[in-house]
Amino acid sequence: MTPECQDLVCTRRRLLAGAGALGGLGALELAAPRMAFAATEARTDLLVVISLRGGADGLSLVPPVADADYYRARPGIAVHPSQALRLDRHFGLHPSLAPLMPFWRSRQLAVVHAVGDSDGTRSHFEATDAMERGVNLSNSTPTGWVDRLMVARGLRSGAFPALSVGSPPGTLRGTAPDLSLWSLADLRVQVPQADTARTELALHQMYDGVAGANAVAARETLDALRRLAPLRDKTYVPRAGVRYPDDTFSFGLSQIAAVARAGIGLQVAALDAPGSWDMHEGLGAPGSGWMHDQLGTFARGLAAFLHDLGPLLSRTTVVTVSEFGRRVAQNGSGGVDHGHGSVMMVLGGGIVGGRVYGRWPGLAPAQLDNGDLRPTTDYRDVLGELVARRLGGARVLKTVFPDHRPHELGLAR
Amino acid sequence: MPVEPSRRALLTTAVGGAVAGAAVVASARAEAAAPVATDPVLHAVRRLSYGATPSLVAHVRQVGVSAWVDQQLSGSPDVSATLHGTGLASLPLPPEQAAMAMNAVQHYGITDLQAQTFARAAFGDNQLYELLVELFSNHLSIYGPTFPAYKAVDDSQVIRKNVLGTFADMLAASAQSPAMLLYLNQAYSSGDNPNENYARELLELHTVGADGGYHQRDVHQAALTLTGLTVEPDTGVFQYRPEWHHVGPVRVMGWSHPNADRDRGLDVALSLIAYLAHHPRTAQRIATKVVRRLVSDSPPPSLVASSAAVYRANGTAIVPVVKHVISSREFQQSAGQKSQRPFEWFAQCVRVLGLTPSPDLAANGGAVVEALRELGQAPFAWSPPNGYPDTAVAYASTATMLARWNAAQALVHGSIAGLGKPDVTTLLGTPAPATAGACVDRLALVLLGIRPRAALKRAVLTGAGLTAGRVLTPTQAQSAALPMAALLLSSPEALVR
Repeated sequence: MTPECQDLVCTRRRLLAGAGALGGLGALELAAPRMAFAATEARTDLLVVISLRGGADGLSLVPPVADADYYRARPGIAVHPSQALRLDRHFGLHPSLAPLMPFWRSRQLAVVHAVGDSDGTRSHFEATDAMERGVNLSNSTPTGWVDRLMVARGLRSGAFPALSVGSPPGTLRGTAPDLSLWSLADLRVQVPQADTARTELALHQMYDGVAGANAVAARETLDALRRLAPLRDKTYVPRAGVRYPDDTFSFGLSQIAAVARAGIGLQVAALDAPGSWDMHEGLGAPGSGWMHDQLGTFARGLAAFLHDLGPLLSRTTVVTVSEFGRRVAQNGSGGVDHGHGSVMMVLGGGIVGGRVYGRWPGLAPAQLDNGDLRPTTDYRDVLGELVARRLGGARVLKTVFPDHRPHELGLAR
Repeated sequence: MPVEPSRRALLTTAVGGAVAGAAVVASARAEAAAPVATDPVLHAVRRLSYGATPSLVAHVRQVGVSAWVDQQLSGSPDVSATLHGTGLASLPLPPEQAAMAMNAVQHYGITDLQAQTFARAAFGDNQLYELLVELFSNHLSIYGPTFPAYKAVDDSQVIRKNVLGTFADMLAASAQSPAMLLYLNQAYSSGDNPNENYARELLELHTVGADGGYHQRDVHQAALTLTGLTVEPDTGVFQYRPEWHHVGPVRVMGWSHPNADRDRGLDVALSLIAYLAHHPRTAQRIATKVVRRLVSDSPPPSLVASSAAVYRANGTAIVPVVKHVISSREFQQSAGQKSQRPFEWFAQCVRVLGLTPSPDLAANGGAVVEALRELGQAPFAWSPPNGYPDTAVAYASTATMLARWNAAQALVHGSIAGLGKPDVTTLLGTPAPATAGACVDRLALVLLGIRPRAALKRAVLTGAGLTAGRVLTPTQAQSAALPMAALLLSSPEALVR
């Protein structure tokens, strides 16, 4: 994908074009952030879920720099110890993640390695779907885990229910109302100013009392038009010194920051990391290529967002998810096929960071899970601890993750 | 289609039909599904076309649904006829030009193919054919922008060529389509270094499905079986490279082959493809997709089962399955069970507004494609290989809803380049309705084929700032018609397919 636009006016187009360029990954979602508001218990964090769609290669993001089997399996694409940003004796960060190192040093960034689901399907679609619902593949619960969390915590009537930028991810599917939009500035019906009020009233009248998913979306849209007009009509100014890079992912994060900093009760935001992580071919060397470029975009945007949150970061938890990792051995195309275990990154003021969590299973042939990194931590252990300790959901864990009782890793205060 | 009678005569016919057949279901109190006209012809035309124009409804009313379906699915339609006058007709790439296309890949953008696809849906007579092309193009989904010229060849040689034939032939063509082999990384898969991406999606998405009873070992064996299917780098055409083919016994689900001869590897691969195309689980999946497309977001299991049986009894032929579904009781009783996805909703709006392509649609195709992209459903722009979803809920986001409302405004005001402006005089008829209320009635009939329920009529009048009884001069009626039309196309009724 080549950037076509240089300014924010074009950003929505690029958002959509960018969503189209994801290449071979799962689910229905387009690349855009999505935010949910609801009445919240006091003192719960803003949750930001970033999806690395397509199955991100955890061994590239957080290379096991002390593991000789890693280098044997990846002769062309491994991150060598001299290239990695050292985390501890065993692990490093991909050099493109350098913008996040300040957060590691300030102990606001934690890494969980060898994390995955319990099903081990290598289907993007199955794995994404189950992970977004937070259940095992065999469980047909239709709602997303974030939706269940919001509902179980309690939605306060009259509070603005939900807001999003782009198509809704499966994590939010369910009864908690939500809004998706491409950018705050575009949140308007494009009619002459004098006709706006009666046009919106007409739309309200024609959808009033009508059933079905479209009618629900229509009413939520009209509700959002009304409630968010003040934010829409102001140009967002990030904190002094913060400059978001000019790309879709960063723009999405800036929209989340705009709403979060407006102090109108943003509870949850979700968006997709840039591009596709489905790197079957041409993953590239650590110093250049697909993984290098995409991780750089990810890290620069995320760092700008975290800086922009400023003091709000103390009440914010950011977590990355991906449906699976990649095969340990590289394939004949300089890429890696679908695998199982991967990594999650957790950031925020309430995180006990500066540590790599999880048990390393090793990468010797006998230690692998069908050729893959064997998950030793269920992704719900990580999310469950966040739900219990940071998101006011300690009493509703069973509703949020019915198939798995989370074991805490001690990564959240 | 026969020469069109005058629009006015057609509308009279349509009125009769709609009034006679329309049991408009709506409730002002309890939540009701979006009101649906149960007129069977209107239902069939909505479901099987990209927009029930008064003229098409009248035509189908005249010849009957099944005769129209037969005509739509007979022989190879002249698809280029649709494109004359748009500047798009010269764009399709014949297969022998694939090599040139590859070399000129920077000069052939996906926008051309996207605009062509839209033009055929919005302006063409081969409505049901185009609908099936879209269905199978989406089943064997390829993200277009990466290899646009290859996708153009794939569109004509894999999908259009076979959609009135058998799925087995289509799948075999797809397995030899450079666009697919490049998209799913098959082109560089070899016996020494197999790449599983295409093999996995062939099983999971194109044929038996994730619950089809295969395991990782089957995926790997399929990947080995398919090694050697690649793209000739200099010409950009399909090539089988024996030296890349894995030799030795292979087994995938219930299929196996000694696979001893490197030079016969393509036959072995095609044998696997044929096995998969004929597999009962594939029959079930194709049947499910056809039923979901034509009947309901929740396909009735009995209709899926009988459709799968038709698929198998006819050697994977697609048309018999489609006709079986259309003639079913479930189809006839399914009015209101499907929503317009953004692409078909946009095409419908263009059709019922009577918009015509400007002569330079090819040059301006970008504006139409941009509009479709903002709606979230530009052709060939879905990046994962599972294709655009075919359920209402997948598109029921607030972002998409707002995009629809704004697109309706843009279409009515003629502000999308390449699509012209609506002819308000024709929309209103002659003489123009004398009151605001009559204007809404008239426009609802032309644009939606129905008489508006009371709440809809009241809403549209609110939006126009008029009362029902307000007397309008023809000039006033024309200026009121634009906001009225945009609101009608934004209504729940306009989303019913």
